[in-house]
Formats: sequence, C-alpha cells, structure tokens
Amino acid sequence: MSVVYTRGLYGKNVVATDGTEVGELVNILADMRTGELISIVVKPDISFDTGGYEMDDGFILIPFRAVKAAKDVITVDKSQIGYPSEDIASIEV
Amino acid sequence: MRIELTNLYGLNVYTDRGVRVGQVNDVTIDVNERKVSGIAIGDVNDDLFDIGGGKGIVIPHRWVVAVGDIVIVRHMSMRVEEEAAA
Repeated sequence: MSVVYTRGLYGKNVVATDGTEVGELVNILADMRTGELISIVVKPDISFDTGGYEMDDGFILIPFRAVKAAKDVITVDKSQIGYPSEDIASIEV
Repeated sequence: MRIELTNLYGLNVYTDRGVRVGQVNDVTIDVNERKVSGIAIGDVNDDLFDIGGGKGIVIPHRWVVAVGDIVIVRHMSMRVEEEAAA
C-alpha cells in the first residue's frame, strides 16, 4: 500500500523515469464515483517539449497509469505518458 | 463525476441523513491501485466522533455517496474506528 496525502503533493516536481524533468504537479483528476484516478495535471517545465502530449490550457495531462511513485518527487513512466488514441474515449467520464 | 482533487478541499461533509461530519482537509490516494482511498476530514462534529486530541478522521472512499457543492457520506453509527489525520 502506498497511500499518500494529496495536499502535500502540489508543487512537487514531476520527473520521468528516464531522468527528464517534466514539470510541477498542479492537480489530480479523479472520478469520485468509482474513486479511480484519471490523470495528473502538470505545469510543464520550460525545458520540456510538450509536443505530442495531451494539453489543457497550457498544462500537460498525464494519465495516472504512468505514475510510478509520489513522494518527494512524482515519477512517471515516459513510455506511458501519451494517450494512445483509442484510450482517449475510454477515459472520458 | 470527474473532479479536480483541489476542488474538494474545504467542502463541507454531511451524512445522507443530514448530519454534519466536518470539512474536507485532504484526500488520500493509493498510487499503486490508482484509486482515491479516503477523505481526511477536519473540524469534526464531536457529536458524531470523539477524536480525542486528534486533528481529524479519514473516511474511506467507499462511504462517499456524492460530491458536489458538498460531500455526502453514508450515515455511520457513532464511534466507528477513528484515525488521526496527518
């Protein structure tokens, strides 16, 4: 079990497992009916190329399944950051 | 019911019988299960819970009935197990 309190997570760095700095955690999207965590909202780092990523109002949306750990930093698996096109329909609630 | 977790903080929590429970202080998530695990509630109604010196309680997500302008949870019998919120 890796239960974490979310309030302390905002502003923490989001780092890809290959070492790339992605940005800063801004929010977490969840389906409160099922409890399922859908995605994290990240303010992209200036050095990060956001091309090809799902964007919303200047923030990157990363599917939660890419999140490997959330402690002092949030680590995400880069190979799972993008939404495969067939997945986009299934995450809409 | 897709929601940004930051919108939950500060919402008032009531049971489905209209009894005030408290206010959402924090939300706990389980990263491996990719689920919301619970809601940490502060400013707890002491008629409902005796939390002693604790700051609050954590209510499991499965008790949550609805989230909107307020949070509605299943009515619980008095004195269920208490957990001190961080």
